[in-house]
Amino acid sequence: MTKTAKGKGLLGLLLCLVAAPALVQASAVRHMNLDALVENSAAIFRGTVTGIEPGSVQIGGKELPTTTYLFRVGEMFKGQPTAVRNGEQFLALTMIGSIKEHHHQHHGPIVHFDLLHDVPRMTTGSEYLLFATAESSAGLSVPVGLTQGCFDLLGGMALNRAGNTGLFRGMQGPPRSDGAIAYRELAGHIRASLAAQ
Amino acid sequence: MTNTRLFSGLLLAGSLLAASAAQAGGALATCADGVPFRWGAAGDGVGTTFNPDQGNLGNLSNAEATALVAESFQVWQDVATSTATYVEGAALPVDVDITNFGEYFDPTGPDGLSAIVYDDTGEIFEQLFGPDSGILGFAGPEFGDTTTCTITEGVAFLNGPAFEDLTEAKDIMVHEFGHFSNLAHVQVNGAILIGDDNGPGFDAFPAPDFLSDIVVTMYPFYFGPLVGTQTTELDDRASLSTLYPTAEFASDFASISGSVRIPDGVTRISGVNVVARNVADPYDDASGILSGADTDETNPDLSDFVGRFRFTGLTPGAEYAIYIDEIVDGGFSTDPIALAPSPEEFFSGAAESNSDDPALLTTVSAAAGAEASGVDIILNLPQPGAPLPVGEFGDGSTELFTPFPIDFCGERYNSLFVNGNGNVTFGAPSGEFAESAGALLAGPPRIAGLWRDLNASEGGIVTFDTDESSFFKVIWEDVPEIGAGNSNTFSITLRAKNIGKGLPALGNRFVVDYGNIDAELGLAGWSCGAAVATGLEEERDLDARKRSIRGSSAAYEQFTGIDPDSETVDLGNSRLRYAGVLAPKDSFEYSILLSGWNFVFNTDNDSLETARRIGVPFANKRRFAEIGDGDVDFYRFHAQGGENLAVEVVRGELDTVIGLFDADTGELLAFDDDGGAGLLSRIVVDIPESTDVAVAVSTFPDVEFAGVGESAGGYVLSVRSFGGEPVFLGDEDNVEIPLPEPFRFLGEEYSTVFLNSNGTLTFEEPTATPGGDDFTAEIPKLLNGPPRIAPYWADLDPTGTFGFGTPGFYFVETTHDALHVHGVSLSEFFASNPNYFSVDFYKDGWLAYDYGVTSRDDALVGVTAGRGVADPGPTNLSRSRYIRADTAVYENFPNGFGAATRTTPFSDFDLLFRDVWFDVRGDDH
Repeated sequence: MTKTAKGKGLLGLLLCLVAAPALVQASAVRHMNLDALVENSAAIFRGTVTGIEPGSVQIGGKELPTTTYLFRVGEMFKGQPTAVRNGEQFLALTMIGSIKEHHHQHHGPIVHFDLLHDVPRMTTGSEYLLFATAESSAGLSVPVGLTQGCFDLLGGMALNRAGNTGLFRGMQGPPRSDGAIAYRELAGHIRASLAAQ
Repeated sequence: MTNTRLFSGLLLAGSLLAASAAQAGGALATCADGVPFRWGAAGDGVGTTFNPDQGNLGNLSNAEATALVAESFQVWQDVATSTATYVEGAALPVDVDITNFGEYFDPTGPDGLSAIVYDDTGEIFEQLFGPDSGILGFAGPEFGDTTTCTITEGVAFLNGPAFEDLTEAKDIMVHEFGHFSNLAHVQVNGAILIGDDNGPGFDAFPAPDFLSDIVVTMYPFYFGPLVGTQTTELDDRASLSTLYPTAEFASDFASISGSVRIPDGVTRISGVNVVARNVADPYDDASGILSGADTDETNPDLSDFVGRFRFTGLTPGAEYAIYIDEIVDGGFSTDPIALAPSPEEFFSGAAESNSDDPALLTTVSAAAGAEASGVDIILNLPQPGAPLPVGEFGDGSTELFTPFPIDFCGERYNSLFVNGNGNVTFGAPSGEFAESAGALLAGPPRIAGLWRDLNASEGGIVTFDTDESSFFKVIWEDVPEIGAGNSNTFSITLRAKNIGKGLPALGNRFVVDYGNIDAELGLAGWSCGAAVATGLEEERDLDARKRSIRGSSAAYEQFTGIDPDSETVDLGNSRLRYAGVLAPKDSFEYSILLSGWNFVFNTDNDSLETARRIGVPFANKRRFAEIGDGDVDFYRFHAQGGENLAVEVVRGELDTVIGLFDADTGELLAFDDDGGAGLLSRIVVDIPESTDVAVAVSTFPDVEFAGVGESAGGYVLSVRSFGGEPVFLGDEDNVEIPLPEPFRFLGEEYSTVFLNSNGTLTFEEPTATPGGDDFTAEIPKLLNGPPRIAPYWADLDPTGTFGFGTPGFYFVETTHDALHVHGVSLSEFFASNPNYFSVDFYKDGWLAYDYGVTSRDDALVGVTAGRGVADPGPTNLSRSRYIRADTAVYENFPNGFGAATRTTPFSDFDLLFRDVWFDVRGDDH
């Protein structure tokens, strides 16, 4: 029997992957469609996380925690990899924030809440499509639009952590529903968007 | 090797405790189940003070910015049903800019100020996130008093240049000051505005043409000026009033409460978005919340708040439609869950069941001051026999709720994920099409009938069957391997428990029945996954003749078909019966010893005094060890003076800390937090004098090893000692090492050898050179290159990937009878997993390879005279400990990303903790 899975069904299947950590969410982010994601990204790539390393950076007069994700790149749409080895591309992405379970500290009965935990987290061995900002002067970047620029890939489908909501809003072409989109189709849209810019 | 060496005298912070997490659709920060943190001494939000920055905010002068801040706070203060009020306090003591924002972004401690930081130039946001991130601002409570559950300080950062005009600036401020007040994001109408047009809620209540003025202020995304912000909607006002209610709020308005339940109709589940719409005014009078928003707990047995929801501030007497809706927007702090394949559905009153019509609506109403309770929505269950969606290439997953709980590896699950590639997983789906032992052991808990790249979209069907009481069966019927056009039929049947129903520690039995199997390669068996499995478990023959296949953390067989002795799938038309998988038990914590005529019960290894004695080298490769609640583990051993000691937690999904103590005095000799891979720990030190030492393992932030760590789980500890001096190599680097005596290798005698960074040693010339390609381990290179000793030829990077990862080491040691080269905690290029191996050159013409923990990734192992020797074909090195090498002997382990294609079979590195000896004297012996 042949069958195909369509949008909404796969949406649910994929959302189980995108559970945000149960920590304080507090950012206001401009909504972006695919064209805006493409335009604002310095690097667009599909990659598998091969390592996650905690670190720190000295900025703003203080040492702040960071997390570096190491990727083996499967497909590079925009930007340059950190390294190329035997034709394979590798990329390192360092984001602000700690991956430690509870970075915040107590001062007696006073607890410090983590402020910014809606920077998307990823897991080793999983594959993602990322739209990343250019590195800042401190070497930091994030997925463009935070959850909007981080797509989980599963079963040939792609779903960003904003549920692909409004991904094609305001773009040319027939209107389409939200939910998971075939990676191949999304890749085609990315290439078309890049060509138009 | 000094990077993680911190000797006694290290400043250790006091014990640190977890803070509670935030909620969606209600409060960001909660103090306890059902108790949010609140502003104000009385928790009424009165007098919430903010402290504006000294500088300008983009196009706004300081005065203009501060006036707009006050105006934006006033929007919340104007909520008539809330007591929250806001007060402008003194300006911050400095103009916060790119040079000094760190202390406001991540403060060392409370300073009595609630900073509203104006990023005038946008440099702060750009430095933190890179340019064009789209982030306009962020805010929230900063400090809270856990004894009173009150917020003591808040903070907000505003991205000045990102605001295109005053309207946009105020939009963002109002949203951010909602967060400042401890409101989380909510979703009611915003998703529909940008395309969520599915489900019964949308069908019953077509969206109005102009939605922009009904998007709630606390919707996660900003669409542009005046869309959903500045003016609060009912849901915003109800959220604030629930936190800081006036005396009249409860009596003047109505409430509706209920729960979301899985198809068994009993078990409550959190993370489902629930929407209430007044049928007479469905978009202006609407509210949304995630089930379980008032607790961080997810187990309904542990918290009565799990799966429950409560709408407040509703119109008295109005009829509300209540329905569950897929979350299609991000940014929610309560973990949202998938509904599919259960559909979105209305609450249907008495008809509510796991098979009711999703469009059947029963409205709910309540009088002023009253609460309509019992609105319990039961998720629908797909029907047995229906095809399950498993993705375009068969790599997708479907979550199914089971009619009875499944206990597996000590955890209780109410659902499982059917993965198209022939396996089921618990707790998380798996789209992995390439079967491998490494993925089996490192992934989620899994039962694999036949894990292979199957593709049900090319043929066959994946479905399930159950009698809802005694069995739950997942079936792959005539499903081909991708592109192969063949057929594979098998099923995984989980049995309900007859005894021990209340004991998750006792696992459910299961069987796998095989029909016709055309696939020759694949993997069958089960694993408890990364949280329990050591990653070092070896495969075994799964025998259908056994009445019950047992194991502690994994039992599997991989059919690779490529090694000389490996076999192809032999499971067709058979049945494998598996015993229930028990909860893992820390084998170092509980033991019964026979001492004389008495049994001695050792109950823990939680102190220096009760440390478990181990021998070095050590790795708990087959013995489960874990850090549980309140736990710390100690291991004691003798450390040889003059040697180096490498102590590393090499596996585990926890945030470890380790300490090295003088076992007799208790003095802390060394400490490490994150010196290993990721959040794992590593200490490499030299031992000046022989002494008994103890290693303590705990989790962050238990830096005093008092058992107050915040994460828990299983781990693998590796302890190895070795002599010699470190040799520092870069990536693709080498060094020439003089041999203490001429060494005869496959007919030639050499006085020096080159140590190459990629885990090989070569004679005559180095192979790892900058710009070269030695990182690719290939058999032709082995045969045609220089004479080579390859204990672990892989793309190793001693630098730890440009410093992003963890540097590893080579040590070179000369003893009276041998030269030893030790690879210590070496990780591969752009990866973090450590590899330990040694090669010993003995004067009598033998080479010995000795392996500790490795990543089990791709590697080529062997010896060769090189220079075009004939290919002898592979040798299974794990089958024979002593091997005579005449020209070349090798085994290739082509696992890993480089070989991960849909057609390439896999072979995992199987020389872990083995030693292999080669007689390399050559033809004249």
